[in-house]
Amino acid sequence: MPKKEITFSLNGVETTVAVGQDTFLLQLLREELGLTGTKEGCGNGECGACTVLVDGLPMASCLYPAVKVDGHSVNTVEGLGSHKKLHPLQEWFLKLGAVQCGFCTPGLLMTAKALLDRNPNPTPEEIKLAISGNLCRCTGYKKVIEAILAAAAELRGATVSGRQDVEGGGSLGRSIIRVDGAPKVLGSARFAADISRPGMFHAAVVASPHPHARIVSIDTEPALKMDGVVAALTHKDIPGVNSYGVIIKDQRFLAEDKARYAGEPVAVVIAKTGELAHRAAEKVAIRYETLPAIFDPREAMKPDAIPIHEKGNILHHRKIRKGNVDEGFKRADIIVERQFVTQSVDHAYLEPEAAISYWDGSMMVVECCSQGPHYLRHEIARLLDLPINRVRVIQATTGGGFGGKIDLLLQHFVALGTYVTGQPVKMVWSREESLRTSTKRHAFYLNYKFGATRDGRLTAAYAEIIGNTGAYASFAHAVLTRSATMALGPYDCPNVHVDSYAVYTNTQIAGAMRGFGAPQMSPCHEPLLDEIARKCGLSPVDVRRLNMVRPGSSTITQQILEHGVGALETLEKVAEHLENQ
Amino acid sequence: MRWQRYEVMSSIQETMSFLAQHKGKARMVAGGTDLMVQIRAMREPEEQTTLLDISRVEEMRSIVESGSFLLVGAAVTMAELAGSPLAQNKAKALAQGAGWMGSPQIRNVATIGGNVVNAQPAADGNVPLTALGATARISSPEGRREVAIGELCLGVGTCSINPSRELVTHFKIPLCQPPLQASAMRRMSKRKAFTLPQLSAAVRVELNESAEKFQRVKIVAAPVSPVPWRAMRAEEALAGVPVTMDAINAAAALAREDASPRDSLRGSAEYRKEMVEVLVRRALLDALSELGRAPRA
Repeated sequence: MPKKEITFSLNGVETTVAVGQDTFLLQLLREELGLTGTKEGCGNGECGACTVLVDGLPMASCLYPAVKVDGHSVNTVEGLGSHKKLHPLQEWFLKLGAVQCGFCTPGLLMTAKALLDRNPNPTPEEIKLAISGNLCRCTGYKKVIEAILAAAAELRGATVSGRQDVEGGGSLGRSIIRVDGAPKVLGSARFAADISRPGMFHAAVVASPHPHARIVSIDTEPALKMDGVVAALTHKDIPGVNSYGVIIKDQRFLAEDKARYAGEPVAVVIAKTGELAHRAAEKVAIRYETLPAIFDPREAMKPDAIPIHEKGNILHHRKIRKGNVDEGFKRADIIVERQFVTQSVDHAYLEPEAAISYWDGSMMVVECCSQGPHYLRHEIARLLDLPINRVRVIQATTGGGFGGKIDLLLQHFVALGTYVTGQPVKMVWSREESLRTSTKRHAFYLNYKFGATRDGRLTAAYAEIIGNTGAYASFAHAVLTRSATMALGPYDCPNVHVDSYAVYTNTQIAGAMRGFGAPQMSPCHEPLLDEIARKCGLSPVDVRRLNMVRPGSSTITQQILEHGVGALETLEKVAEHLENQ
Repeated sequence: MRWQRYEVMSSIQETMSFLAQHKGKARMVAGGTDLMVQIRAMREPEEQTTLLDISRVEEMRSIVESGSFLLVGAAVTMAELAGSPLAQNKAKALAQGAGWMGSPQIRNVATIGGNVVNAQPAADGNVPLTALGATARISSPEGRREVAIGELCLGVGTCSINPSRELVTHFKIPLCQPPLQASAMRRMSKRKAFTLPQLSAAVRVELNESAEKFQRVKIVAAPVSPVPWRAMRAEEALAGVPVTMDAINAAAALAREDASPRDSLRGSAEYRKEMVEVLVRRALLDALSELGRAPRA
């Protein structure tokens, strides 16, 4: 297919390039013109990270054929402002804290630019509508809207008053502009997907489509025969130990005998382009013998359940016993009992996982999105059988994590690729790959029972917590321990009995996520307290005031609280606020 | 390689000659906001394909009043439709639906023609166009034809227009002329923006000369069946009856009775069925309020 020569205005500069007829505008900008300020968050026109302006209007460049801009104008974040002179939007995004991870920022800025070009004095409602196609997971949009309003005012020549952050210097007592803010608003911050190296190969994962299957054979030949495919790696190519995991090492870098969830990596294909690597990944012939799968942790706990791991399906049981719960329930005038279910949640950081690796002399270097480079370093050393002083992990600018980027995700695949081929290797997950293979929030089944006196004081609390850790442990021990210790939230009870279980199933791995096992507890203890309040004729505030921990209280792990017990104070502030409404 | 060639068309005539030349090996693309997602999901192209981009064909880019019709070019974007005073005044339900579809980024590119040919059961363009009684003008190298929107959709994602053989060029929409004709659309969804509807309803109301009675009413709800669904009994029940709240309530109840929506991720069949009544009633009241009318109690 012949390339087409197109001429268009790119950030005001006439640009002529020869472009493939099936190239999308986003690819042209990022891969061929090196303008990596525009991001790919989903590849489906859903997230807004790839927003650029075509003839002044915001578009999803991931779905826009590049040849279509011939004779038209394109504006990207790189043309918005410069280090020497930021655009007011960029400036106010910084001053009002509208930039956090920075991955959605270029798209938001371009959308806002288009809005202000048409409507110099937008209302907050008009701003909300205009940015409704730009997803942001960090800011909650409030600061973004404030920043756009402030920039609009400045552009109209109005003075902007009110709180604003200031440039660095001493930070004590002052709200300062984030140190990595300027590159993020300029589009020059380097996320892992933005980094390239000469001679770089691209890698793609071959994942099990089955939730539970024995791997009979893996034939990489059909992939290797393809022109441009460099290597196809399986567990046999691992020089070190094929196991990892942050608390216990129950997970394989690449599956050997068994796949335990749909999406578990079995092989990695290295090729000259990312697209080729993905096409070749589909050619790797893996024979599976499917096994019965278990998706419900309550089923998996039964003694006769099929074992997902050799040691059985109950990974962890955390018990908490305080006082005498039977006595406590005997003394109770009121007993409330409920069952609860919470769901699995994806972190949905705007930046899908990405990593690039290379040899720096005898040092294996991995640059990647991450929340925990030190942990990754140890795992990569284990994989490659290298001493840790020969592995260096550099955290690239990371586009949101929320706990999901603490785990080893794809960094080992590129490291193994570089180890085998000697060349830099890059892997960037699509949104689908991210959803398929990344960790999730634990889904819970909970049985709760509270006893209280007629005047609303808790006498006994029972909780059974069953957390679905999916196919592997990840942070399960810690998360389910946190759940157990947080089972009563901020409430004081003399007699407590908690059983918290982490259970294997054939579902996606659950890992760390914001709150780390605590958020699943509040939808249980709060409604039960409300129920007690109703039965005692108390207000929701009164029942909480009565039961809340305070200095001198003993927690469910029998720690005596001394200082910094803010629960009651918080409650009073909320109560005051509610009264004033 | 996702497709072999991408040609940006400049006229209907040029498109026809490309179609004739490629003999079914070329297919139309407009905004491509759905097609590109489908193509991106394919690793290997199915066959040699040329895409003919008609989104810049000037003749298909305008919204004009022509006699008693509104003529909307198929390459008009959803954003343009939503923002068009002409559409807002003379085909309000369509302007509303277009403004709810997708996100601003999608609406700036997606076209009304693409929305119709894509034939999704609750497409925000198809639903109001069906209620408005619109027809599609279709050109092929063999000639031109005109088909009522209601007859274009054959099933989920299946439209009687073959994008490798023919091109929808315009939509002809009977004008809603105040003080006797108006249209309105209602839509409910789990989020306020950028989401598919759980349910939508569009109506076109025409009153008799004295404006005391309903003359003719069209009521569409979706997704209730694989194609935009007409609440026929409800429509008939309103014909010739005085504009009262009782009549509206009765028609909305009939619509609910006759609707048999399905369960999906976005809503249960049971809930959707209940909501058919609510949205139809509200859409009818909206259309009347467009005419400055409130029904008698």
